[in-house]
Amino acid sequence: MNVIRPYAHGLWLGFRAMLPFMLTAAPVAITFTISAQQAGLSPVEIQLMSLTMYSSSAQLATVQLLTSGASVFTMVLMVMSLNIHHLLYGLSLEKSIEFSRLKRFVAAYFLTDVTYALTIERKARFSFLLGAELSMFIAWNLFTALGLLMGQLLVAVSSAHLDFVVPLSFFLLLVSSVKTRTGLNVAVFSACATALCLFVQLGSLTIILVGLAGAFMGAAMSERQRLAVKPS
Amino acid sequence: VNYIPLILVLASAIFVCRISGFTLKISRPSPFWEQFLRFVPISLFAAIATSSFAKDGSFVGARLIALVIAGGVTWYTKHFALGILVGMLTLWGLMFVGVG
Repeated sequence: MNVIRPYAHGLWLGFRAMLPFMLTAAPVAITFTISAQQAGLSPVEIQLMSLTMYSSSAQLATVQLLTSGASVFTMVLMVMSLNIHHLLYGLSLEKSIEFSRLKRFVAAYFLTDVTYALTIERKARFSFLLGAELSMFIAWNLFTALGLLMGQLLVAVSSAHLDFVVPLSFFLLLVSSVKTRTGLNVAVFSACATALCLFVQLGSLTIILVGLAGAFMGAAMSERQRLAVKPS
Repeated sequence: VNYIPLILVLASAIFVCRISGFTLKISRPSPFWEQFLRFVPISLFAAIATSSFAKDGSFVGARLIALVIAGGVTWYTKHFALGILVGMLTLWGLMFVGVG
C-alpha cells in the first residue's frame, strides 16, 4: 500500500502534466489520418501505425513516401533519421532514473520529445515518466480514431493554430532549464545552429546534430571553467 | 496492398532508436561527459523549439511576440501551464487584431 500510493501519485502527476499537450495531438493526428486514408491505407492499418510507430513525424513521412512509391529501405532510413535523437533522450534519462529491464523497455516504447522534456525538467521518477507517456499515447491514439470516425468534420480544428503549442512548450521548457550563463550560451548557439541547418536544408538530421553540438559546446565551456578554477 | 508487415518493420526501426540510448552503457562517465549529458536537454529544447517554430511560415511576428511574452511570464512566475495559456491567448489576440 505504502509503495503503491506514491507510485500512483507520480503516475497521476505525469498524466496531468501532459494535459496541456494533449490538444496539440489533435490537428496532427487528424492531418495524418486524412492523408493516410487518401494514400489508400485501411482504418486498421492507420490505427496500427499510431499504436506501434507512435511518432507523428515518422507516420506523416511514411504516408508521403508510400504515395511517392519509395522503397522499404528508404522508409526505414527515413523513420530512423527522424527518431535517432531519442538515443540522447535514453542516455540522459538513464542518468537520472533507475530502470529495471522491463521499465527500460516500457519507457523506450512510449518515449516522446515532450514526455522526456517534462521528466528531465522536473527531475521526476519513473512513475511520472510513465504517466506522462501513457497520457500522450492515449491522446494520440484517441485522436487518430476520432480522425477515422469524423474525418473532414475535424479539419477546422487544425486552423486554430494549436500546433503553436509545440514550439511554445519547448521554448518555455528551455526558459525553465537555463539557469547559468553557459546554459544560455548553449541555448543561443543551438537555436542559431538549428536555423542555419534548416537554411541549408539538413532536414531531419538537424535535431540530432544540433543536440550533439550544443551539448558538446556546453561541456567544453564547463570543462574550461573547471580547469581555470582548479589550483595548479 | 497489405501494409501491416511494412508498418511493423518501421515500428521496429523506431523502437531500436528509442531503446538504444537506454541500453548503451557508459560506466562512470568523465566530468566532461557528465557535463555533456547535462547540456543535452538545453540544446535539444532549443533545436526543437526553433525547428518547430520554423515549420509554420504564417503569423511569424505574432508568434514571436507570443513566445517572448509567454517566456517572460514563465520566467517570472515559474508556472509552465500559465505560460502556455498566456502564449496561446496572446497569439489568438494578435491574430484577431491583424498582427501578422
